[in-house]
Amino acid sequence: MEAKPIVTCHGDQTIFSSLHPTLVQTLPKETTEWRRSYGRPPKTVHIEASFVPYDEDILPKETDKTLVSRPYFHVFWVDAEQKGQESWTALLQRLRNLLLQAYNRHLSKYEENMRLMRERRNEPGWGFIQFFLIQEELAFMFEMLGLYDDAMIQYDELDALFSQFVITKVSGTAVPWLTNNFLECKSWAGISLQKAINRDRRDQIKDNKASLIEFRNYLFSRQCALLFLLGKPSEVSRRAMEFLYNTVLEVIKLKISVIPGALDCWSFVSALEVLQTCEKYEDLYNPELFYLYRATLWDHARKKLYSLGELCGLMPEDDVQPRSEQLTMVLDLTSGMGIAEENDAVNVNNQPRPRDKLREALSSKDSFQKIYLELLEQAMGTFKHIGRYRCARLITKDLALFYMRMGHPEKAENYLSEAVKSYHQEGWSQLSEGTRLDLARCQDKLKNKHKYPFTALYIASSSTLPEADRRKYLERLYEEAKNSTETSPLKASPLITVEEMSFTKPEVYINHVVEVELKIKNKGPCDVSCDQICLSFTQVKSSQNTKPVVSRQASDTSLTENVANCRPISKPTANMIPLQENIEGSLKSPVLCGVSCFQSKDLLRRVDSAGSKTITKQPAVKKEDYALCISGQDIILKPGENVIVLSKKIEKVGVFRTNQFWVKIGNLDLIKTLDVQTSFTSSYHQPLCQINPTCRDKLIMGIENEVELSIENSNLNLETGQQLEVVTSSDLQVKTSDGSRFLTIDESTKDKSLKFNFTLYHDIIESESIDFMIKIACDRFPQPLLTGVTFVSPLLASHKVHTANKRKYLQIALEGHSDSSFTLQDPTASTTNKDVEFICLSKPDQKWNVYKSQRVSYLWELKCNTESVMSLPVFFHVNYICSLEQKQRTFSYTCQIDNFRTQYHVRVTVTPQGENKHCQMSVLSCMKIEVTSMYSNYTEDRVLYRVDDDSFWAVSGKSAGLLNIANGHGSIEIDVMAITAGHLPLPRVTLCQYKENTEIVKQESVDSEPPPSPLPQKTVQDNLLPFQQGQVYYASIAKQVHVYPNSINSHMEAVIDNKLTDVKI
Amino acid sequence: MAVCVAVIAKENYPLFIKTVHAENELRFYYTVHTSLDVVEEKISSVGKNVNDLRELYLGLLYPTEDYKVYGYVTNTKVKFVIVVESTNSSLRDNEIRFLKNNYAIARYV
Repeated sequence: MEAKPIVTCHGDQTIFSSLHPTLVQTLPKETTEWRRSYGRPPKTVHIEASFVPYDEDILPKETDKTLVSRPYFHVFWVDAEQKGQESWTALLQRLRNLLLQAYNRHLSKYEENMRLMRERRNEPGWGFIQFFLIQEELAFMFEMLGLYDDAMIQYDELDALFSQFVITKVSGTAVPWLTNNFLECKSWAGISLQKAINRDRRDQIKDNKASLIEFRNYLFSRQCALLFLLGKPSEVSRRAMEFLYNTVLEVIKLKISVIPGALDCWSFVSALEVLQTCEKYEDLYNPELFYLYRATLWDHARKKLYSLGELCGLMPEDDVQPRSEQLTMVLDLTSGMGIAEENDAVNVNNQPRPRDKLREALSSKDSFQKIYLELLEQAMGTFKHIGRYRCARLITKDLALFYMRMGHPEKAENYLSEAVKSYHQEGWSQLSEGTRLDLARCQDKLKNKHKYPFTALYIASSSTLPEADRRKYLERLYEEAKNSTETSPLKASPLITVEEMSFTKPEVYINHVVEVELKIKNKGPCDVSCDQICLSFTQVKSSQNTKPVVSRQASDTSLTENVANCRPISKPTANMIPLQENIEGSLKSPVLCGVSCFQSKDLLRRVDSAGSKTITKQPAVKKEDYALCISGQDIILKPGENVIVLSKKIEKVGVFRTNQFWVKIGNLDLIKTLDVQTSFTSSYHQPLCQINPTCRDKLIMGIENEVELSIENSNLNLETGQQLEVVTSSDLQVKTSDGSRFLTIDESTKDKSLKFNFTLYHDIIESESIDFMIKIACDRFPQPLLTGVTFVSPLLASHKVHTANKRKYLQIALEGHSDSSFTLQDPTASTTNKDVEFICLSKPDQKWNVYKSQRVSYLWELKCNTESVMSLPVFFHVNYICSLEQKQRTFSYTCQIDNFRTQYHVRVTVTPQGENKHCQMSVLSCMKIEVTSMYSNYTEDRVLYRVDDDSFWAVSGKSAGLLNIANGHGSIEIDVMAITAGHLPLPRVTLCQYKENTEIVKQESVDSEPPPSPLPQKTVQDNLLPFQQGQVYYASIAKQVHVYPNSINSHMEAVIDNKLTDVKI
Repeated sequence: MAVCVAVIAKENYPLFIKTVHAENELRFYYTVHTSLDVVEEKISSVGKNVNDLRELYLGLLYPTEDYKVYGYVTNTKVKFVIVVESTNSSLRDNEIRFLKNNYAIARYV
């Protein structure tokens, strides 16, 4: 403050001159306590004064309202007594006190006048400017004394008074002093804080030539100057915001006409001026607030610049160019920004002055963009720095939109998607959806084929956006889906969600229809016509747990941007809790009863402490395998909930779990991987399948058996027209009604229990019974049905060759084996060997009925022209008619007779030895074995004879031995002794072939001499081979010899042979 | 007359927002949302000192050129935010306080 109170001096000028410099210097060095009037608190002040020679002209007049630079005090200087230090101190102290007393007297008078003047403010002729100057003088005074607070109060009072006048004026009350000067606005120069006091502006005000903006500029610049002196730069920033808002508001309220954009220019320049000036200071007390207000100012400035850009055609779109009237507007605005001040050249930190910056910004589109982006970054950065992330987010969004206008959607996309995500996380759906519209525009410009449809889906399903927008995006999506050539899988969840899913029958049989009921929510604004809706399954091993899989996503610890005050919400807490009654046991005797919440797991789920700060990574949508699926075509989903039922015939056995949900719209695939998986089981129970004869117990070979195939408990779900094939081995003949092996399902058989009739035929074989497996096959069966049948033979044939010396007889016997009667006739036997002839000994036309366990035998005599018939095949045929069938069929029997010609004739005789006439018990008798070859060209051979063990006879000596047969005859005699008496059958002799040196030699001879050579026992056993039936004819087999008892005392033993003999015909 | 009234949940998601001019609704959503920055600041600054008497009325949250935003927070941290036009000089601070206590709650309930 240059102006100081004046102390006039008179008297000895030389003394004064010598003291003056010391006095001026030392006077303000020490403080003095200033006790003030009106009970105001005392202040400690430094006092300064200008010492000037007394001049009458400078004495103030009564009308003079100055306070600071007026003479307060008069000193008359005379030559001192003493000039010691003490007297100096006393002088200065006295001077200070006296000056203060003078101030007090003047101030109280001044303030009293000022108060009186204020009270007259509503009187006509009162002028605000005069009052302003008077009160400002007081403020100057306080400022001079270093009482900045008090000075500030004066300005604040003036500010409030002025504001009150404006309100009064706005309310309609006349304020005469608020003249045209105030209400005109020809200059919108921003505030300048370069100087503490702008004398020119003050003079302008004094002359009543200042406009409202100019007055406000001056007033605020003074307030700022004092606040800086008070060390409160943050208060400057804070007040700057109010100042900017209020001034503009006053201009608007007072209806001061300004050209468009002028106020924006003023706001911009003023905001930047405050920011630039504040940069010089550092707020030690409230650094956070300091930054906060600065951020607000940056934001305010950029908003103003933006609206100026819009106004002047500086927006970055290529097709926007400033029109001539806009260029004129720029000139007009620039001309009103004021002229450079004298010390404008001294820039803060070499920054251009705000006015110049604005001029530069308005000069071209490029510089506008550059400066606007610069301000955006500043505001955004500062807001982020102080943790006002929501403000920063809003600016970010504006930045993104500006990038889009600049034609750089690629720069905007990330900002927009981040904003969408952040708004969504906070639960502000309106904001996230609103931003999503911008994002969709951005992605559309980027021609992002994947992200754009996804965003469009979200828009279509938005609950907050206008329906017109939602429809527009959805319809466009359909159109693109129809025209697109490549398919793009997208998450279905924005538009379509599966609310509920249930199988009407979770367990079905194979070939049955499985039905799934889906409650699908279409969140779109209009119908969604789906080409196809599919639900895919995966087959799981039955051992696997088919319950829904409980899975937890791995915590992702990557932090989101660390922003203060941001608490992303997972979901709003439910307003209602669904409860259900819960009773265990019966109602009469409950074990437990109460209410339970079936969503408790969901509601009480632990909120992941890390989850709130993590980004849930969206898994990529991948279309799974739809080989196993259930689907429906051409389904229209109405807005809201839709219930659709999809069905499919299941042709596979197993446990299936739902996997993925797929909606196909044109080439657009909407995919939803199901979190809650449900499963169904398709099972196959092998039906009970039986084939039974219709009219008796057993199936009989040789006749056509009527059978019934029954398939019980069928879960096969066969359709009419379906064919079942009866598969058997080739020798089992199947004949269905149409003569084929196929059974056709018709309406009558298409129920649960299937029954079919057909016939089975199998030739009679030489076995009592035979089992067959019959397969019932169908392409709808997972595996053919199997059943077994057993055929029994009705006739069992056997043959026997009988020998009478050389003559041979063939007996073929047929035994009935079934319950049915068979009539046999026309038996024939034949062979391929032409040397052998069959002569039938039975009556040729005889018919025989054979019942069960009855036997019919036919007999043929064999006539043979040659001796060397080693093997003879016999073919036997007989016609039969079964009582069940009445159809004549032929029964065939084939057998083979080997070596049937009689080779040896064996005769055994027992004669008494010596002089005995009779054979006697316990007395040796002579047994003679005679073997005669029946072949005419017989040469020589050796056979083995053996006398079988007998209960009647005991052999003396060897019972077996070799017998040489020479010239077709051989014989041997052996001593035998009868053990018992009576008519005894002769000892039984068996002939065996003797094989010599592994070579079988067929000889049969009775060699009496030399005696039979002893045979090693082992060799005999090894080399023996029995003759076949009929090769040896035992002529004596039925003969008996009368053996007399050897004494009278011996008792008689009777033997009764009960052996049954065959019936021979 | 307030141009926008909002009730914000403890977790800062909107429970209720009503605007006078439906066409500018989204703009007010942004205004209310941004004001939560100030609300959170005020709440957290109070919480630091246990002895601080909790002042439920948060006063003028922030002025803009067009609107003034006032806030009120309940003991359960439900917030009420009122947006008033700046040109509206009929509403004084203490009147807003009264509004907060009655009007907004009444409208919401």
